[in-house]
Amino acid sequence: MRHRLLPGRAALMALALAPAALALADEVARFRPLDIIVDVGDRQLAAYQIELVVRSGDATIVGVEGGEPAAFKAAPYYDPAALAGGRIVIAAYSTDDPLPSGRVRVATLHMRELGEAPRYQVKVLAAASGDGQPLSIAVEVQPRTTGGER
Amino acid sequence: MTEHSTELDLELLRTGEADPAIARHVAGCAQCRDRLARLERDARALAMPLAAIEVPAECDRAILALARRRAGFVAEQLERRRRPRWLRPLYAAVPLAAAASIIFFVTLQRGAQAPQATAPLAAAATGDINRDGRVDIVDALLLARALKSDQPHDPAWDQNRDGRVDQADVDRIAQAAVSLQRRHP
Repeated sequence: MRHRLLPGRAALMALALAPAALALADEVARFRPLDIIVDVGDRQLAAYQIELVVRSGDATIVGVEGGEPAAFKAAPYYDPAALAGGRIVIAAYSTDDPLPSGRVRVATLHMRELGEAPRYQVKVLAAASGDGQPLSIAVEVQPRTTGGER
Repeated sequence: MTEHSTELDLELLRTGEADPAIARHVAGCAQCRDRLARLERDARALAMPLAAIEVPAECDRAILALARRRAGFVAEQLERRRRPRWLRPLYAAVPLAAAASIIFFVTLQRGAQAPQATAPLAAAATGDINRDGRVDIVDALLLARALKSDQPHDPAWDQNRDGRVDQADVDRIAQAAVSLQRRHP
């Protein structure tokens, strides 16, 4: 008799807890923009190719946006297969004049994060100056604090 | 004849080849007469467009070209069979020697000339414009710069093989550079 009632009780408990569980999941899921910032020093940046990988935590790439300077305002090239995944390669070039130098936000990646803050690894695959010569640049990921919580 | 005529019987009747018994049955059977009449209508409808069909000239040319290619292949096979057996190793050795010579001279030339990033003069159709052994955004940049300048276009830059060197070729290189299918260094 007791065993016959058990599934019914479990179902009732699941129904009672479902809104709470959904609310919890909703609370921890957040969208956060990640600014990709490079430092080219006094040289001029004409092209970059950067790889970003989610090293730990639960995060997926949901959007790609261009950078701050006019030369890199348009969204960079990327493989659409990267969306909803944890790895992306972005790249852009510009033949404009003048080209940006110093610290430059070249792109912004929009992430959907769950749980603890994920760790990201970013790597420069290629960079070039205006004359097409290889350029040594530093890159960093800067999460924005104004990400939309939901 | 108590049974109705089959489609074959009616068709034979329509063409005048049917047995007289079938003709007698159809004459006395309204259902079979209707079916025969429908068959005659269909036959007339089918015959009319067939007479009007014209084969387009391109179709003719395509068929002829295909036939010529096939004939050429057969002729080549026959010619091969006619060649003396003792000469066969030579036929293989000559192209191999030619290919080896070409590779040797190209390697020599590459060794003598360092790749020039600012002048993408002889790019392979693989997208490696600066010939540094990989396809990346720098190749796209160099091609974009070449397009923007008055530099004459190298046909090898035509990445999508559409007969033109344009922005589509730059995009193709850039898209290849970011593809997740590729192994990145």
